[in-house]
Amino acid sequence: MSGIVDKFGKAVYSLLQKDPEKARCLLSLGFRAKRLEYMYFPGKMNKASRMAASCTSRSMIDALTHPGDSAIVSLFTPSEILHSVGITPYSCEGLGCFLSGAFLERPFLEYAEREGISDTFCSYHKTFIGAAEEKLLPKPLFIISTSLACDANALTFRRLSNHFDVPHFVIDVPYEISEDSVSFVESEMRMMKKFVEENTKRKVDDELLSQILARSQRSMDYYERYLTLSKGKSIMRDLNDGMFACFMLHNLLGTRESEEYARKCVDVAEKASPSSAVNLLWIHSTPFWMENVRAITDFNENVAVVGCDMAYEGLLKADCSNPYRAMAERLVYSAFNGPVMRRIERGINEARRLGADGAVWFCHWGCKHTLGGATLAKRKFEEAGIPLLILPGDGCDRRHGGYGQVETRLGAFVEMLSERRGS
Amino acid sequence: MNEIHYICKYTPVELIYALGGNPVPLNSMLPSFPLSDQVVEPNICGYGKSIVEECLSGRVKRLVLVNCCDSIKSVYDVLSEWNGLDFLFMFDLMHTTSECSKKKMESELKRFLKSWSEYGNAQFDKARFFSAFNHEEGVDGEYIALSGGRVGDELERLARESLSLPVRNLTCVSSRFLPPPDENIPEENLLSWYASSLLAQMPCMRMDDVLARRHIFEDERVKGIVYHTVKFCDFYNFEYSTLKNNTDLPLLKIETDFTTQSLGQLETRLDAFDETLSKVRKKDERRVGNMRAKGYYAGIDSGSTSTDVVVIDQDGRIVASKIIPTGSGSAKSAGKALSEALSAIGISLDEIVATVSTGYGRDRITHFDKSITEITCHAKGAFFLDPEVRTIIDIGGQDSKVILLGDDGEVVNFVMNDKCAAGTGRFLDFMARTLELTLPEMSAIGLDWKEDITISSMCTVFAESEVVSLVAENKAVPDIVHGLDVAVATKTLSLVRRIGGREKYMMTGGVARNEGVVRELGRLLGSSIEVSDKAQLVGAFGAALFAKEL
Repeated sequence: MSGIVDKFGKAVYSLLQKDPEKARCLLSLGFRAKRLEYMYFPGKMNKASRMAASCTSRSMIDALTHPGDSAIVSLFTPSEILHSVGITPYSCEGLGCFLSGAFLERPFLEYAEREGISDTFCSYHKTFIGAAEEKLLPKPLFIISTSLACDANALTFRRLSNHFDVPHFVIDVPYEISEDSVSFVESEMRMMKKFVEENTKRKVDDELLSQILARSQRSMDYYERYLTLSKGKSIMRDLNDGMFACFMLHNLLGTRESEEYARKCVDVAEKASPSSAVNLLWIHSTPFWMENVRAITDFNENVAVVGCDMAYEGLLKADCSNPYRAMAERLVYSAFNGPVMRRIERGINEARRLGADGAVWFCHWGCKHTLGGATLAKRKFEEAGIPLLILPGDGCDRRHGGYGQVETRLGAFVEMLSERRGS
Repeated sequence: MNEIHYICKYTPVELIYALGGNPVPLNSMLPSFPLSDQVVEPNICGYGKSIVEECLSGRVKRLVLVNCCDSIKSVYDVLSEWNGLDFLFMFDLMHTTSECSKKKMESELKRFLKSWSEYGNAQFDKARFFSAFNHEEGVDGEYIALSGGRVGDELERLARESLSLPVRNLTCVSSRFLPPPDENIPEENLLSWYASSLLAQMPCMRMDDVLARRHIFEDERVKGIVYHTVKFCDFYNFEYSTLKNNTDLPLLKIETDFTTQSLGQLETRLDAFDETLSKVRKKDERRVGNMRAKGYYAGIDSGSTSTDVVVIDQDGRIVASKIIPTGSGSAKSAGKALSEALSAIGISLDEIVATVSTGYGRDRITHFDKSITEITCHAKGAFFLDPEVRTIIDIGGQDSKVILLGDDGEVVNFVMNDKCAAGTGRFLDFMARTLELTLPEMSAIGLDWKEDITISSMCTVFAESEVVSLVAENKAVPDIVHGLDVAVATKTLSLVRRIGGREKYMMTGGVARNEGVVRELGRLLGSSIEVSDKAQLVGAFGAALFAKEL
């Protein structure tokens, strides 16, 4: 199967050199075919995962086929305002995963590096820049990004705003965790509303926005419940689950599909039978392209990735009567904001809630936030009695290699946890 | 007394001074980070590691950080947890400069004031505050702009020593300038004014609006740019990516890991850059060269792997050459190679009129008349062999470099790989050993490929493990070698593209003898590549030509 997809990726890139419009059509056709596979031939995927995969695919197809109703956003940008006026948001992490899934990341990474962007820069962002500047991506309506968690946002989105010649709005999130910071971001969210109104010529209805925020809250509540219920349960999952959950609970949060997805997660957990698998908590994105890693983690009765911090980092209880403040709270109180100890402590708490035997701190090449916190995380997790594996790799770039290394480390870690459990 | 280190231009240096502190920029490059490596993962920026190292070693007791980037935030996390400093503070600097951001800066100043006052029992001294503002560094006449990411003190010193024109360090803390306040400003407005003034500085690339940075490169007095980036810091590559396509100024791009380890290689580049800027001297050299007596001239290229000698006669014809392994001493190998070359044609050392050394070991060969960088020597040699050549691709043992020539053979631009063996001769050497092939075997076997295998990893270590896996999968060796050839060619292509390489291409250096790499690179470039039979001797040949002009 990977051979066919590889050929497809090469065909899209080859067509891109001659006719970007046709290349885009071919790529969206490929995404549609993948979506049909998720819907009708899902293999062992559970029904919530299927829905997440299908909805995320659709948002990527919409971004390619309806660029006038699409906006490029950073992953953590609250997108409810966009949903309220019918704009589809898509992130570079989301599209980067899909391009990598189509074996298309390599030429775009090479393009970005030829242009002088460093080889230590995040591969999701480099793939996205390459795809945009090589004209695979259509011109969006505008760009909105946050400064939360990732230095790359400031660089990628500023560059793409110049490239596409479209407006760019920045939500600057203070590092300090306080109500003052929430007020600061709240005022930015109100400015974002004006920015969206000006650039879409559509009015943002505050009442509708409150309803959408209420839906976001219900989705987060359902997902919280799912996390609690899933402890010790045998749920058919793969390495993609965490990333799909992340997309459903960020850029798609506030949609009906997001709520339905989270509700289905609860349903799946309620009906699941007990499990005796070794459970792993995954920190950061997942190297879904490494088939040998997936041979360990996917639909395996003996090993399960039970949670991913990209999905749960922003879950909280907010007052939806003030939608702007509710969105601001999600950013300021995100586990990724402020000192890394917040992310570590949240991870330890989630590991306990999910019954994780150990945690994998995946050092996605280029993510300085994750790399910088790795050594401290290892110490703190282990002080809390939870073994932690620091696993260097890349979530998107096949050139990073290290198949054997990653497999050996993860395999040995699982063996160690199995033994620990048995003793 | 009360020495307090800081790292960022947005630090309220004047306020620290007004509170009785002695603010000192932390800007030294270190040879390595043995203490830091115990508490921080290796793949964060070297500057971040140097801060941790300075603190853990006890050289820094009080430190003010700014949340500049994810790496510095990690440094703060590590140092907070360590809890070994007398005073540690991190400013929460916004990315935008809106009114809200100015208010936020003001509240951060108050937070610092409180924190430092509590620590040092200090009082704000208004007169000291006013006296702390310096006037901008005066610059008379033309200069070289040292721009991009933070340049450590040692690199700045090297640039000043290597370049003929004055150097102005416009990076990070070194470019800090705040105009003094109006003396009549009411005291209750002072912090508000100060917050706005701090944010009104020339922005660094971390800030949201960086338009004002174009003024750095638009100053008519700038005659060249040395653009520096720090490994694992991504901010300034974005500016470089745009700058390289939009400036007519001579531009040298360098990258360091913020250690002093790579200063030797950087010296070569800075010297070569200075040579490209010094055209007048070149003309003088030619004039003097024509007045020389008859005799022979020797050039020696002291590389990391081999030492190459070329002896030419007064008409520029090669009369002798020798290639020997460099071994342990550059000077010793140079003497040996030269005497072997001379004895082969029966010439005595007395008949050598002038000598020029080039390559990494050039400055250690002290008995030669002059040393010139291998970049300038390669250009000289290649252009002499074929005056139509405009792009030289030289892949040696530890370096890949691409040199762009002008119509008169002068070096217009050049680029080198940075401290990584990916795409160099050593990479191929390593892979040949893994496949149990000699280099000549590897050169030939890759031409006979059938399956197009992609070697994903460019890291030498990971690529080796990938090659081992492919062998285990029973993939044919010619196909694996072809995959390696493509990997090296692709890496080289990015260097060629980076400086706008154009026809006619010539390849030099040891890897030029690898037919597979040359063929794949030609395919990617869409152009033929000339490989001279003197491919490995071009540097030494250029040096000999320079010797003739002495």
